[in-house]
This record gives sequence, C-alpha cells and structure tokens, in this order.
Amino acid sequence: MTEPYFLTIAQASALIRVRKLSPVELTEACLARVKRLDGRLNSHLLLLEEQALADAAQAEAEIAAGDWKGPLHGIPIGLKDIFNTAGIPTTAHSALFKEHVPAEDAFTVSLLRDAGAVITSKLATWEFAIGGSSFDLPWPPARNPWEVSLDPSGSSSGSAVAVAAGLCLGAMGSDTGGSIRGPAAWCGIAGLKPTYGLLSRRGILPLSFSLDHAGPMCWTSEDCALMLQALACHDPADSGSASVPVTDYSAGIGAGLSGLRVGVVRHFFEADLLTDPETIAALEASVAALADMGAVTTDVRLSPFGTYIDVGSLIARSESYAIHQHWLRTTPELYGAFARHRLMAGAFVTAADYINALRERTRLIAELAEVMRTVDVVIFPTARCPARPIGEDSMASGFQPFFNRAFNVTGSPALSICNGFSDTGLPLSLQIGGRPFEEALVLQVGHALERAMGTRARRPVVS
Amino acid sequence: MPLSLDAFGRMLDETGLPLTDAQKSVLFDAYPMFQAMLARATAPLPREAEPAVVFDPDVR
Amino acid sequence: MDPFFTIAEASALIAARKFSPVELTRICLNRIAAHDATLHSFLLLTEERAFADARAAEARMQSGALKGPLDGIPIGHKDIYNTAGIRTTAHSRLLEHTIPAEDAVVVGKWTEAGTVLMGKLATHEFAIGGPSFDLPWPPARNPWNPDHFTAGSSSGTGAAVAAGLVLGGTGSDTGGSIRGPAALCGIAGIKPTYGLCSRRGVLPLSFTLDHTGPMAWTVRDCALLLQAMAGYDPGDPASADRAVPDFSADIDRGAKGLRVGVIRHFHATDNPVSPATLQGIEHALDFFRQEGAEIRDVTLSPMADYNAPGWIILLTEAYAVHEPWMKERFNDYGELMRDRLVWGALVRGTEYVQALRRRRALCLEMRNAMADLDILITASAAAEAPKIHEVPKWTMLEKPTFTMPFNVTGQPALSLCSGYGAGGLPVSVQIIGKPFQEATVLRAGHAYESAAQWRAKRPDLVS
Repeated sequence: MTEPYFLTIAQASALIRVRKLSPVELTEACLARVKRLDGRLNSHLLLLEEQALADAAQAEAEIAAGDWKGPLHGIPIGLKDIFNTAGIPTTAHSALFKEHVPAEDAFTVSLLRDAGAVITSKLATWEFAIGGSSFDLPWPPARNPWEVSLDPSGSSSGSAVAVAAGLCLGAMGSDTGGSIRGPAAWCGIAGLKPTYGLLSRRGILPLSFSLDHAGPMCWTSEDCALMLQALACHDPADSGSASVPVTDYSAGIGAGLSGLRVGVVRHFFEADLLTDPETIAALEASVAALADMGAVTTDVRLSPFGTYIDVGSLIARSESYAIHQHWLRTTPELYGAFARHRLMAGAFVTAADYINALRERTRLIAELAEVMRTVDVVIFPTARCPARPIGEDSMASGFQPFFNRAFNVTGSPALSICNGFSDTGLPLSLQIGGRPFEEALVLQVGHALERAMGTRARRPVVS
Repeated sequence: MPLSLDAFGRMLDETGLPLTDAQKSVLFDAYPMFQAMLARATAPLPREAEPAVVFDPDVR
Repeated sequence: MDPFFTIAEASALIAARKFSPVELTRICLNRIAAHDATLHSFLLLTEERAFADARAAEARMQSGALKGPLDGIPIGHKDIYNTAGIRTTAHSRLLEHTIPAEDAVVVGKWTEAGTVLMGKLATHEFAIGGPSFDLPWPPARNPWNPDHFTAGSSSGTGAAVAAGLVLGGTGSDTGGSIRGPAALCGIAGIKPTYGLCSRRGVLPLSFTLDHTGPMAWTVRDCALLLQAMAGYDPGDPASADRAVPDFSADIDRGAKGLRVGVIRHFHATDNPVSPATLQGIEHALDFFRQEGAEIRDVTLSPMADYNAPGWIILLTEAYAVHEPWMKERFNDYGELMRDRLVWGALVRGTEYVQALRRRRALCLEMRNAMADLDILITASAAAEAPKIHEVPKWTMLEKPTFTMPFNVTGQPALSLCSGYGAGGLPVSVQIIGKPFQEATVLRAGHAYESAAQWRAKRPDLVS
C-alpha cells in the first residue's frame, strides 16, 4: 500500500470514511515526514503539531460516531502564511509581521475547519507574496523537492513543496500574478486559481485587491475539486465576493471529453515568450491525448502575452504600493530587498496609466469572452521551462518564467497540472483556462490529462 | 520643503503636456492647495482597507 | 404674457385634450426667441424637430394614444448627451462639429416617452471647464440676474428650465453638476443613485462618479422625468440590474414619520453658508418638524474629507480620458478645463487607489450614519449665485462643496429651492437619501416644496 502521506485526498478520505485509515495515523505520518525532510525543504514556517493531533483525534472520534463531514474530514492541510489563523502567528514570511497574531481565521480557513480538515502548518511564501526567493528574511526560502538546489518558484512556494513532498495532502495558496500556478508547475502538482470572487479574500493579507485570488494546491486535479467544494462560498464581508450558485466541482471528474472544444493559444509559446522544446513537446503530447479522448482542438488567438504582463503589472504595482506605502516609508529596513524593490516600483506609475490599464483590462476580458464562445477551454504551458536554480533570477533579470498573468487580468479560472517530465526528471506543466465560474470543466480536463499523461505515479525523492 | 517653480516645471514636463512657462506659473500658485487635497485623499488606512470600486470578471 | 406650466400641469391639460403640445412648444419657442440672446442657454435650437415631435404628440392626443405624462412636453438635453444626427459638442472646440450616429440611452428613452426635443443646452466644457469665455459659445447666464453665474456644469439646463424655455431637461452630475445649477437657478434637480440611470452615450467625465439625472421646475416634475430615465442598461457596466419603483406613487404622502438627519457641521462650520441659505435650511427643517418628522443632528467626517478623494478621483479619471488630446491639442481646450485637468496628470496610480480606499471608508461611514434615518439635510450651495466674472478659478481646491460627498457615496441627492436671498437670487436645500431610495427623497422634497410656495414666482426677466 502507498505510504499514507503519499495518498491523494480522494484516496485518503475514501479510506477514512470506511475507517480503514485513521486521521491520527495519517496526521502523524505527515508530521513525522515534515520533521524528517523539512530541514532540507524549508517549506514550513510553523508546524502546528499539538493542535493538528488534537484536531485529528477529534475528527477520528466524530467519524467513529458516524458524523463524517465530507472528503476533507481528517485530512492534513497546510496554509500559506498569509492566511490569517486565530491565535497563531501569521508572518507573511516577513520581519515586519514576525509578531503578528491575528484574532480571527481567514474565512477560507474557517471553511476548511468546518469541513473537518486538520490544519497542520503555516507554510513558506515569498515575503508578502511578492518578494522571493529571498535569502535576507528571518526564514530561508523553500526548496524544490525534485532537486533542492532548484527554485520551487513562488509565491506559494511552501504550499507546493509540502504537497509535492507528501508533508500534507493539500494546501492553500494565493495567486495575484501566478503565485499558485507557478510553484505548482515547478513542483509538479495541481494548482487552481479559481474565478475572481469565487473564494473569499477576507483574512488573507492583500497584495493587489483586484488581482488577488485564493485557491487550492494538491497532488491531483481531483483533489483540487474536493478542496474547492469546501471553499466556494459567498462572503458578504468580502466586497469582491461573487454570489453564484454552488456547483458540484467533482461532477465531471472521470467523465469523457468527447466533443469538448479546446483552443490552443499557440502564439503565447511560439511567438510571444521563447519556450523550451521539452515543454512544447509535452504540450503537443497533451494535445494528441485530448484528440484521442475525442476533444476537438483548434488554435486560437488572444492579445500578445506581453500585453497581459503590462496591464497586470501596472494594476498590481499601483494597488500593492497603496497597501504598503505607509510601512515602506516608515520601516523600509524590515522588508527584504526583493519585496522592497518590487513594491517600490509602484510609486512611479501615473494614475492615468493605472486607469488606462483598467480600461485595457476590460478589453482583454471581452476579447477572451469572444474566443471562449468558440472553444470551451484554452490550453498553453504554465512554465516556459522546468525549475531553475534557486537564487539565479536576480531582481534585475526581469526573466518571466510563466504564462500566468493572463488569467489574473481576466479573472477567469486557470488550472496548472503536471503533464510530463524533462529528461532530467523535472516536472513539466500545462495550464487549462476556462470561462468565469466554469471550474468544474477545467478540473475535468485537468483530471483527464493527468490520467492520460500518467504523471501522478511519480513522486519526488528528496535527497 | 516647498517645491521651487523650476522643480514644479520639471515635474509638469514629465507629464508630456505642452505647457508654457506662463501656464506653469499659474498652476504653481495653486499647487499647495492641490497638494493639501491630495494628502487628505491619501492619508494612511489599515492594511486590509479595500477600494470602493470592485473588480468583476463578468464584464459587460 | 404666456403662462408658465409645470410638466404635471401641462400633461394633465394635454391628457384632457384641453391644450395642444404644438401650442405649448410655440410658447417655449417664443420665450427662447425673446430671452435666449441674454441667457445663452441653448447651443443649438432644433425648432423643426420640436414642431415635428409636437405635431406627432398632438396626433396621439387626438387619437387617444398618448404615451404618458411626458408626451408632448418640451425638453432639452445637456450637450454632452449624444443625439443621433444632431450636433453634440460638449461645449468644446474639440467637438465643435461632431454629429453622433446614435442617441444616448436616456435620450432614446425620453424620445420614446413622447418628449419634444427643443435643442441642446449649454454646459461647462466637457462638464468641467467653466464658466469660460474662450470657447466657441458663451457661458449660460442666470435668469434671476444675467450678470450672475448659473453654476455648472448643467448650466444651460438650469437657466432654460428656470426661465421656462423648456419644462425639463437632462443634467449630469459628477461633483454637483445637476444640483449646483439647480440651486443657483432656483429649480429642482436630482442626482439619482449611481447606476439607476444609464450613462451610455453621455460623454464621460469620471467613470465612477458620473451620474445622469433630470432637472425641472418642481420636484414632482423631476419624479416624472426620472421615471422615464431610470432602468437597467446592460450596455453600461455600472448600471444596476434592479426593478424601478414608481417615483410618483407616494409623492403626495407628506413628511410625517420621516426620520431626518441634519449634517449641521457641513453648512455651519465646514463651509459656512450665507444667511439666506441658512434661513432656507431652517425653514425646511421647521416644516419637517411641524409635520411630525423626527429630527436630529448627524456628525460625519469633515466635508473636506469627502471632497478630497472625490476631486482626486474625478480629476484623475477625467485626465485619463482626455490624455491623448491634452498632449496633442492642449490649447484647443479652454483655459479652465485644461488647467483643472493638469492636476490629474500629477496623480500617481497608487494615490488614485488610495483615494478609492478612502472612498470606501466614507461610504461605510455614511451607511452607518443613515442606519436609522430616512433622509439627510444640508445645503446644496454655500450661497446665492456670484457674479459670473467673479467665479474663482480654483473653487474645487479652495472650499469643499456640499454636493461632492454624495457623488463619492453614490446615494441619491435632490436640490430644491428654499427661498430667495440677496438680490432676489434663489437659495436652496439638499435632501439626501439611502441608495435607491429616490422615492423617499422626492416625497420629502415635494412635501416641503408644495407647502413652501417658493414656486409661485419666476425670474423677473421672463415674468
């Protein structure tokens, strides 16, 4: 049998439900693995050992009493350390927030607790979800479990590393410019940035109001669907929260793709940003697999990827500087160099440029909506190349490793999955984008491709 | 430290607007009032304070 | 001398077939011929169109097919409202010869309601630059004394309605452009809730602050005009998708039981008003007290705190719209417009975002302050109209206005006449309601107006 820490949420919860797996044993297995491996991976800022074991014991008792709360009941889950946890430090991986202990859980965290999840840990992030991978913070940066000299990417680095390495079964990430999908791609897991407004942002440290998304990161698309089910809930206290009917995100898992119309945004990776041959080969193999499953693939055209980068950066910079301005002025020394420099860039954007970026954003959304009348999902790589050495991408390099900005700008759902491995054994990635609030379809396609490409059997061996 | 007319003029030049020196000088006289208004409009807020205009991905 | 009619009066006579829309139109045209050379309220007179509209209405009257209370009523549109095939200039050299292909949505709605289009009315240049003497057309003059200012930017509508040249007209209100001229010209004007009336086809000044709305001699007439203006427009991204109530249904119900808050510090200390203005406010409050309304003082943030983010947002958004022309055709704008907009070029994106965050905080403050109140009362202008050559260039920077706070919050606000002050010039009071509670605001305004008798007199010029 698979080691418990390498079970998917779907597998573990099926066993827990019929009492063949104990939540306490599962939690203990994960905790032991953290202790054994995380000295090399640095994915944990805080391990909530006592509380996690107590929660697991409670889950076990509840399930024994016939009160099974659902697929997350008794499942060890980690949180990126920008999600507020009541009475538990929430540091944003920053010296500025070293002593920050929130009074309340983030709304999404309280939903996980309601679903019976066992919160095991507060996970490494880039500082305030923007500054990384950094070596000048109170904690070191997380390392890629496939090869610890490599960057896991960020900003939800700890979440991706912990899930890939079997330190927890699922994790929360946040995604403002790709911070769920980037690390999911480089660590070889599934990461979903849902539609803007589907998940509450309340109690998550903001980076950029109109681009911030919370989302699940798991080993499989199927697990992302299970987590999403517990997390999708209208929150009247979040001004961006959408009031939409809750759908069954797992309904399409395992269903066929016959007749599905898939658009390949070929110019992104063939013309806009130079992409490595192995990544393109994996994409072509995925396209072939989709065709084998009965899907109809066509090439589609959106605006050049650079337009999304420009629009997204102008918006993000202005919004995040407004949030941090006071602290950048009064205690700049408490920020690491990456966060400070990236945030400071927001000081110089003119308001007219910001507003015109918002107007351009409206046009990009309309353009995508028009394309999505002809196809049901679009695909393109998540990362242009597999993971790079940590510390290599200096502040000045401006290297853009990911095709992520587009769906932050449009706000529509995007899932990154692992669709293959490089010759050197590193995960390759594919991104699947859908129409607003059509997460179920995106996850269905992700699941089908994970199966077809056979990538979920291979776990990193941490050395 | 109050801004000099020269420095104010350079700031206006950065906007790319074709202002004459006379036009700059008229604006310079009102600049302290504008600065006061801008300071009032941008006074610090709690980190979690949200903006009034909220993004909606279902753009019409 | 020809008699004056309110919309309600004329409409009752037309419905009873006692008065022809053609005759009514002729009365208005005669008055325009006699006085508009002094008042300059029209940029374009559409006499032929007016007679055609009037004859069509007359035919409907005779065949018993009248469309409703606005059928056959002479009106004018502020010249930032697009009119198909009819020149629409924004009172600017930049659009001096522009002829739109389509009507603005609300223009179409009024046409559909049977109104008689008399022409296009003077405004400040692009609804912000005025009173200006360096434009292709002169500024409108106040009918109560043509040496005096109408206020702006819906100046032509204010002057034409007060002088009985039209029975009603459109205005637009971004920082007070309906309520200011209504106040100084002694008429009624309502800025509805943001999103109630479509902005599509109306030249934008500031997306998030622009409101369209009606101006007329009485509050009751405003209710009739608003009825034909309100409603969801899927083509306006800010339009509110909600049912439109009957604004006249309860308008005669009186003021009994209304819970009235007085924002005394606005007009007593934040921008102290003229003696006659204060007297008018107290007169209105006495009325509400006698009617059995509950009255108490309300304390909000200083009025300048509401004005500052409002003007920063306005100037910034306006500059973003005009930036290309400001760079290429700077001197084709009038001096007031171009000098005011320059400030918008100096605002940074992050400052704009910060102003939007402040705006939300103020909206929350206002909502809490009104929790157990139905309406608020304060001044709508600080004093009687100044001489048109003595209007300061930097009014918006010098003193906070009474109108901008409710553009910032978006709630409905009505200006109506509350007496006559120095030089026989009108003074006014402002009644503010909760979002989408226009009916309550109009009911309160109508109750006071019909008790007060200020409507018995028209400007001497036209009497």
